[in-house]
Amino acid sequence: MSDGALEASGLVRTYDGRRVVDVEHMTVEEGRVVAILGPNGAGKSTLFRLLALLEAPDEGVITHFGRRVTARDTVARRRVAAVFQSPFLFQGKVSSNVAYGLRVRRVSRKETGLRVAKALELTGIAHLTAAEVKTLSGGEAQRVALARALVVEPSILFLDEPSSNLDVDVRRSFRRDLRSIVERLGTTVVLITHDRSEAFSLAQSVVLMRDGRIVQQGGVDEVYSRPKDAFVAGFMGARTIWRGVVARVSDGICSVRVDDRLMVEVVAEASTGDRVALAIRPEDVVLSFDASPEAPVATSVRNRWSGVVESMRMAGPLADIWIDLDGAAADSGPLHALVTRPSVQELSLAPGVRVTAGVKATAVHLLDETGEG
Amino acid sequence: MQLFWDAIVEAFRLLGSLNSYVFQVIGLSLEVSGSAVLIGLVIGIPLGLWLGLSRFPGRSLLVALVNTGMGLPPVVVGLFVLMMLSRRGPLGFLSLLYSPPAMVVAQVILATPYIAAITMSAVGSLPREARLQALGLGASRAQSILLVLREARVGVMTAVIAGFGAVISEVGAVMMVGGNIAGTDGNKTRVLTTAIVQESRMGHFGTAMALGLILLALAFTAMMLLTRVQEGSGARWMKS
Repeated sequence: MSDGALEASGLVRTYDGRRVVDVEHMTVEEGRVVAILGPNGAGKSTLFRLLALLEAPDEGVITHFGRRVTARDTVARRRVAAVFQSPFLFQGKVSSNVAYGLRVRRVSRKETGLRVAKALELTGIAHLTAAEVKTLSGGEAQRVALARALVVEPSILFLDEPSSNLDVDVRRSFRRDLRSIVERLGTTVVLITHDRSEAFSLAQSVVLMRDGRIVQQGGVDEVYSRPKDAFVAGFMGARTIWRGVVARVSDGICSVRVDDRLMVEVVAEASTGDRVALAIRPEDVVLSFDASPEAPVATSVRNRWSGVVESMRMAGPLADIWIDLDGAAADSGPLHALVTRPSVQELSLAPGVRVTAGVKATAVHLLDETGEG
Repeated sequence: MQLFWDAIVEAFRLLGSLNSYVFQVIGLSLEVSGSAVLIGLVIGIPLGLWLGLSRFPGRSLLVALVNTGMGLPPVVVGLFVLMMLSRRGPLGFLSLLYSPPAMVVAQVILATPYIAAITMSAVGSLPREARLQALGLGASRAQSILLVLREARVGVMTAVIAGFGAVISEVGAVMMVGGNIAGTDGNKTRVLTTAIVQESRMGHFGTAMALGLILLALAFTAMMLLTRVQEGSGARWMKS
C-alpha cells in the first residue's frame, strides 16, 4: 500500500500543440512539504492546476490518497485547498472570505464561526476579522488567502508562489509563520515556486522542472548536494559550470582536466576518460591573497587556482566576484565567488587584482555531462 | 415658441388630471419593457457568462455577433418578428402578432445582446483566479459561476441598465409588431413611444409632450434606481 498523499502518472497537458506538462511520475508523501521548482515557463503552474484538480489533463492519472481523482470530482476537490500567487479576495469582509469554503460545503453557521475564528487566529490576523478586504496590505491579504484555505482543513494544501508578491520583510515573516503553521498541522503541502530560497525554507522534498518535465526529484539535501545535471546544479545555486575529461582517479578523487592548464580535483565516482561536467557554488569558493598554487599551505583545500578579478558587484552584505583563472579557456567562463563585505576590504578586491581561489574537492559537484548548462 | 409653451401647459394639465389613457399607456410600457428585460436577463446573463468564461473554437464569431446585436436597428428587429409571427410566417400559428407578447419578443431580441455583451465584458475583466480560487476552495462548478457573477455584479447591473434603456425608448419594433392599438378593452398595444408618434401625427402636441415627459421621467427614475443599486454594490466594495 502506497503512503503517497498524491501521485501523478503519465500526466500530459498540451496548449496549442505544445506540451507544457509531461510528467512521467511524481509522488508526494503524506505529511511532507514538497516544492515544485523551476524557472518561468517550466510548466509549474499548469502542473499545480492539474494536481489541485482545477484543470483536467489531456492524459494521465492523478490519485489522492490512493483514490483516482479528476477535476470534475467535487468531493475530491473538497479534500484539498489552493492558495494562489495573487490572492483573489472576494468582495466583502475578511471573515466572509475565510468562511467561503465552509459555506460551499454547507457547514452550519455556528461551526463556520468557530472555524473561521480559529483559522484567523492561526494565521495571526484575528484582529482583521471585520476588516474590508480592500483595506488590507499585500501580506495581510495573503494571510487571509491562507486562512481561507486552512479553514477547510485540507488533506493537501496547494500553494502557488505564496510569498513571491510580498516585500522582503513581509515575505520573511510570512514564510516563517507558514512554516510554523504547516509543521504544527502536519498537512501535506505542494508548494510551487521559482525561488529556491522559498523551497529551502519550507520544503523537505523538491521536484525540479524544466520544459514541462521533471528533471530531478528527491529530498532537499539530496538534490542540493547531488544535482543530477548542470541545469539542476545551476538552479540550486551553482554559478560555475565547467566541462572536462577525467584524467586520473586516485583514492576516490578524480582529477578532471577542464582546460590545458586547469585541473579540478573532485571527490566522486568516475572512470578515467569519462566526459563530465563540474559545478561549483559561489559560496564554496574561498579567496585569498595571490600566492603560488604550488606553495605549500596547511589546508584541506585541494583546488587552488590563481586568477584576476574580472568584475565584482556589491549586493548588500555580500559581494559577487568573477575571476578569470590563469590557463582557463574563454569559453569555460570565469569562476564565480561570493564573499563577505569585510573580505572584500581585507583582500582589497577590485577588478584587476590577482587572487587565489580555493575550492574543496568535496565542494565540486560532478554532473551528468548530457545535462545542459 | 407659443407651440412649445402650449404643449408644456397641456402636458402638466394632462398629468395633473390623472388621465386613465395615460396611465394605461404607462402601465403597458413598463409591463412590456420590464418583461423583455427580465427574459433578456434569463438569456443574456448565462450567455455572457459562457462567452466570458469559456474558450472554444468559434467564440470570436459569437462574440462579434453579440456585439453586433447591440447595434440592431429596432425597425429591422420589428420586421423580422413581424415576418415570423405573421399568418404566413413560421410562428403564425401562435397568433401573437399585434399583441403585447409580440412586443415583448421584439424587445427581448433588442435587450439580450446588451445584457450578454456587458455581462461578458464584466466577467471577462475579472482575473482568471476568481473562478479558480472558488474551485480551489471546494466550490462546485455552479457555485464558482455564482461567485464570478457576484464579483461582477456592478457590471451586471450596468447590463440591466443598458438593456432597459435600449427597450423603453425604442419605437420601431413595438410599432411594427404591436400595431399601436389603443382602446379601453381587448388587445391594447399602445406604449409611450408609439403613443407619442400617434399623438404627434394627430397634431396633439400637448399630449405628445406630456407622454414624452412621462417617458423621460420614467426612464430617469428607473435608471436612478438601477444606478443606486449599482453604486451601492460598488460603494460597499470600494469603501475605505
